[in-house]
Amino acid sequence: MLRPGKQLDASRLLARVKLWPARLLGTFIVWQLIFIPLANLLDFYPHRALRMDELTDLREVPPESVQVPVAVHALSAVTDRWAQLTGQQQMWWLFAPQFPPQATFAAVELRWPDREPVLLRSSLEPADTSSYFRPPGSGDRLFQYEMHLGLGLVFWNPATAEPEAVIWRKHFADLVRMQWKSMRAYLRWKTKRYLAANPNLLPPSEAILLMRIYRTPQPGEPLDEPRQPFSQAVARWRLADDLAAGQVPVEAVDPFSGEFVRILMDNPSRSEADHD
Amino acid sequence: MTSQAPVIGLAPLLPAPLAASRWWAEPIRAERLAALRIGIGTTLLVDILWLYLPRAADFFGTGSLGSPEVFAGRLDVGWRWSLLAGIGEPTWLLAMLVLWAIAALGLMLGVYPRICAVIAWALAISVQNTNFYLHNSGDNVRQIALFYLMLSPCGAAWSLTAWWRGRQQPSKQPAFVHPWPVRLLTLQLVAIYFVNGLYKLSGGDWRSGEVMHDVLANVGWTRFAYADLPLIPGSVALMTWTTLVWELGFPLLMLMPKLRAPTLWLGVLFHLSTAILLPLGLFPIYMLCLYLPLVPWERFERCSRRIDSQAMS
Repeated sequence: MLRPGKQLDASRLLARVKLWPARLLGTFIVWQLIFIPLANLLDFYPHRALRMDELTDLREVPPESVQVPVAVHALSAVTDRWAQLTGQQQMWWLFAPQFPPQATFAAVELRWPDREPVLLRSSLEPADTSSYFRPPGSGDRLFQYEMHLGLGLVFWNPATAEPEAVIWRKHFADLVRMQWKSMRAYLRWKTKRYLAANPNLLPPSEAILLMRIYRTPQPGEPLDEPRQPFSQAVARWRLADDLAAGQVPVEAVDPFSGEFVRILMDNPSRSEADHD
Repeated sequence: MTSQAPVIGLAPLLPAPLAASRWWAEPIRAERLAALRIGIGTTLLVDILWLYLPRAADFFGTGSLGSPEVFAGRLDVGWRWSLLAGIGEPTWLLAMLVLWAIAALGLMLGVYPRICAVIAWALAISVQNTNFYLHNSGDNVRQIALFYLMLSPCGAAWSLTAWWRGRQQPSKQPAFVHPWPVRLLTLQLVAIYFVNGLYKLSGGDWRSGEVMHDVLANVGWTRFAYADLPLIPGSVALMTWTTLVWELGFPLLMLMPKLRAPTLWLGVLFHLSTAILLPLGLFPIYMLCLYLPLVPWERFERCSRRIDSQAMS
């Protein structure tokens, strides 16, 4: 609003208005100069609470471990939102700080009540580990998907896990609680493809997600001999299953007994029930 | 820069320290930005046609690996968004992939390049949020590059739009652009390597020189069997430490004019090696696209002119 008695210098006002886009661009550049280092710096401080809804590739910690200073919380709220809005997620830690000591390949076992089970291996798993070639292409994208499914088992070794049985049981249950949607999508996709190739078959009663795990040899160990994997069941999807409210549609495995366990969605620390 | 050369695009109003800096204020040849546009457009086109489309029905749509309910929870967090949220109809999703490919082609050729960049950027984020597990950090690099391209006059050179404009208003002056998108992308590149280096430094296996063995001997993460690789003793440890030192030293090495080119050539070698050895999709190629604005394309033009004039005489 113009005050009475003040003359508006129209040309000056126009010149100022014309500067707004330039000012806006300048502000954006300065903001980007702050955002890039700040977002990367904040990621060194674990500040994101783990959500039990699929993996994110971001550095997350269990909600009970998040003790974030107010400043970090406020700054990360801004940088995270800007990164999400503009697609500038800053997560640069390829193969760091650790590289997994094992490779996992997803496999699916289909079971029927009246016929032998069928094992569907990943198309990415080499037939001979001592000599193979994996061509570039859409298989690289599929590899990323299957790698995410197996990420929780890259440190799993049943031979040494017994002393930490409680932790591992919870870990297996939490994996399913967190990734049941992608696990079920994978099981459903593999089942659908198999039935399409075998149209005379009835749908299986259950599909089990397995990981075929290859330990990476230590330096000095022979590498030119074929390696054998061990199989670890992860989850089971019963195709015609009636669920009670709050139950996860995919069952988790007890890695020590091999039994499948029905788990609940909400509370990760809640004890498991309904052993199969 | 010649006194009458046109500078295309909006000149930003920068605060004093930046405005006084030649690195931030002096316009650069538009070919620098054009090279980025062509590189990203071409790589994106290959990405869509080769890495997504052959398995589109497996990756997207109801009942697929990216069935709408699988990653719907991602959009509940913060300001994540997707134009494809809730769409399960394969025909629609296929149409979106085709539109994405057209935008990539438009970006590559420079036909309405900024509009193409907006479409390509919006669909890149949407596709990533629709089936997150298909993606890796290379796709973040892709989105970042597209974000800058859509905000900058990336079609000022080496584009059909510029060629058409040149026919209408012929000019012998080369086009210039304001340097901010290239400078911000260079800083982003520095951040990528340096932060990677810091995380690697905190890992014991990196410091001991064993990580490259773990990577190359891992049957999941390699295109070739370890036994088939022609490695000489000590090369694995050398690769590990070279990567670590190069990433950590990248900001400093880039500040030294004499070491800048060797540093970038080492980066080219590193990314080409990872493209050949590891199933990282187009991550290495997207990273190499960030190098394109750092190439002095104008010098090649001068050389070419000199050769032409010598041939004429």
